[in-house]
Amino acid sequence: MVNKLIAIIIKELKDLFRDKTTLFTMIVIPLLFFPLIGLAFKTGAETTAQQTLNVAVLNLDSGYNKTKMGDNLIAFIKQFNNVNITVINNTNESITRLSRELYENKGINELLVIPRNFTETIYNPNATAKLELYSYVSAAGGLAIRSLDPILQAYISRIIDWKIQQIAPNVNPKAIINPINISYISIVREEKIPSPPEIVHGLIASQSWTLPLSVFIIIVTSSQIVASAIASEKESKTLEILLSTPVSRMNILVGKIASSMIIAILSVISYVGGFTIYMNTILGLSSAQIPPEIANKVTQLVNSPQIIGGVAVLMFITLLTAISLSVSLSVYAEDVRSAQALVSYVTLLFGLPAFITMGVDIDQLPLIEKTVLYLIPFTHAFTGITKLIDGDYTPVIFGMIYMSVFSLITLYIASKSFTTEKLLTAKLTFKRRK
Amino acid sequence: MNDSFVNVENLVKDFGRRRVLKSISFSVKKGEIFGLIGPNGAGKTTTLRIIATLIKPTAGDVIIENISVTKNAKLVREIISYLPEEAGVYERLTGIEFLRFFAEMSTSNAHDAIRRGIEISGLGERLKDKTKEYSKGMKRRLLLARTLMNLPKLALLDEPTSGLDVQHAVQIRKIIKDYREKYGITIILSSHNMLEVEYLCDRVAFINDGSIVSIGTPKELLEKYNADNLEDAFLKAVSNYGE
Repeated sequence: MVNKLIAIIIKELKDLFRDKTTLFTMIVIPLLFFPLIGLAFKTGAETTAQQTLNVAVLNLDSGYNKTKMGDNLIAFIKQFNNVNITVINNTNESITRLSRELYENKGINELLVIPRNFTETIYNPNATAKLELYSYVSAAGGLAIRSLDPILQAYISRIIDWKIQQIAPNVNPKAIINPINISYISIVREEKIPSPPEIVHGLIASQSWTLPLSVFIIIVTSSQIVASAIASEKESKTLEILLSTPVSRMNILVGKIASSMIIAILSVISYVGGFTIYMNTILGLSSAQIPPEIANKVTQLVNSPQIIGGVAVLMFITLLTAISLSVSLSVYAEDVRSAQALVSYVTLLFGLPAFITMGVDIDQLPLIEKTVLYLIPFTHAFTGITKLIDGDYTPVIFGMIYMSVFSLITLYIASKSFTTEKLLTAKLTFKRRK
Repeated sequence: MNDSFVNVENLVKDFGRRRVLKSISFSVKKGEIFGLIGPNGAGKTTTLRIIATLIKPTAGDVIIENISVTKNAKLVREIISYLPEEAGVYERLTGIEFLRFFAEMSTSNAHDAIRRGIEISGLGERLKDKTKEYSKGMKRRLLLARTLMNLPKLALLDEPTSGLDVQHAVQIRKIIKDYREKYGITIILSSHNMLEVEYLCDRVAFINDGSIVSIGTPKELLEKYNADNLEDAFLKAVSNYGE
């Protein structure tokens, strides 16, 4: 009995592992996909940081009282690293033509125009000085990733400080600009994180948004594998041979489910491995803008043993649910194509919560919508991940129980279907009729 | 008491509203090759599937060596082996892995069964190749080897040479005949190839539209219908049956 079950599992695993498409989509792609995305982000960010800022400045400033703030601004810009500045003191051409020529001949797509009265208006306490920043927009070239704007904002802060000191030399300009300082403290579970909630939420989201997507992909692919395994045996009539041997039908069913689970678990490991590499790559980037201690604290919270363990159990139950549902459905399909179509429709429908959880908090929806969504077993898989991060374990346990009961019911239906002739005679087909 | 090894008793099978078997009965003696002869859709495959315990009859029963297929399917599966028409193989397994898997499923003495399977298949070194590299004839020989290797008391062969070229069909027929002579097993096969039936079968049943039209040895049937060959006899039997 056990020997036969082991023989079935070994045969199924050989069959699945020798299928290069299965191996590639379920094991290799996840290991490559996430690290490549991370690498793309990292390379993009590094390229942006190292990119030379090519700007042109048309300095028309005529000065005031022997002072030229236009020259002062140009000197300020030149202090920054990787800035290549082209200064133009006069032109007979229109600004639009000049912008185009600078873009086409020198690859400069930002032109800063300092007007004639720039210094005069800066010195006037009742006037606002003006600058014009022209960006040449090309459909082919796109917008410059690095812009002059942050440098101009820094210069404006400096002028504000200077103007305040002109009016009131004994006051601290920073105290005038920011009379009240708010300390932002986010609380995740019972941990205080000295950072605004949007930053903390962003950090958590950046670590958890790929999980529902991964769960969804695993549900679809593992369902397809098990559905194809049964339907291909049906199509090639090897199932008839197998069913006429003295092996129990329950053994055949369990063997197929167990082998699909093994492949799916390997796929989960591959996803987690790829995702960990991705996270390590991305974390290096976020620390450039967010203090590393905050990024590390959030990462520790999200990657705690309780959460990782909870996600693993949740994934296992989700896989069991998806596979048992696919087995039940594939019994009724005539061939591989029909089985894959049938399973795709159902898993896509059941995968709907994945997309909803990525944008909406299901618990905030009206009662009817919320109930309908929670009746779909996979909803608990997707919401469970965020609830685990929040430390809200009761609904996660309830969801696990609900999915387990659903799996047992579908497995019971599948085992019943497996012992009846429906397995051979059901001909649900999705082929196009000629 | 009769000396029948297989007794098919008033077998009826409905698929929805369609009655595909209309109370058919026949018996097969131990060690006999019995042929079910008829056109496509006559009910041959349905009869074999019922005997193979894959589907249940709407009415009637099949008794194999005093075991009922409807009441004790599990025991029946211990003594039968079934080869479906145009069955496939596990394309990503090698020939030897295919034989080993089914030997483990069918018998406690897998080693001897595999040895016999290798011999019956005649595929030699090619058994180490994946079966997707096999020709149709090679696949059929592998499947036949799988069916016969565990020495079943009853082998059920549904169109064993269907879709094969003459050379491969002759090889398959020779294997079936030699195997029966060597081990004395009982075989029920279905075919619409009258030459094959004349060569292989001790007795045949003409089946048409879910009913047995006539049963006898090929010689008896030729004499009964005053026909030159079984094809002619079948046509006469079918035309007489409705009258």
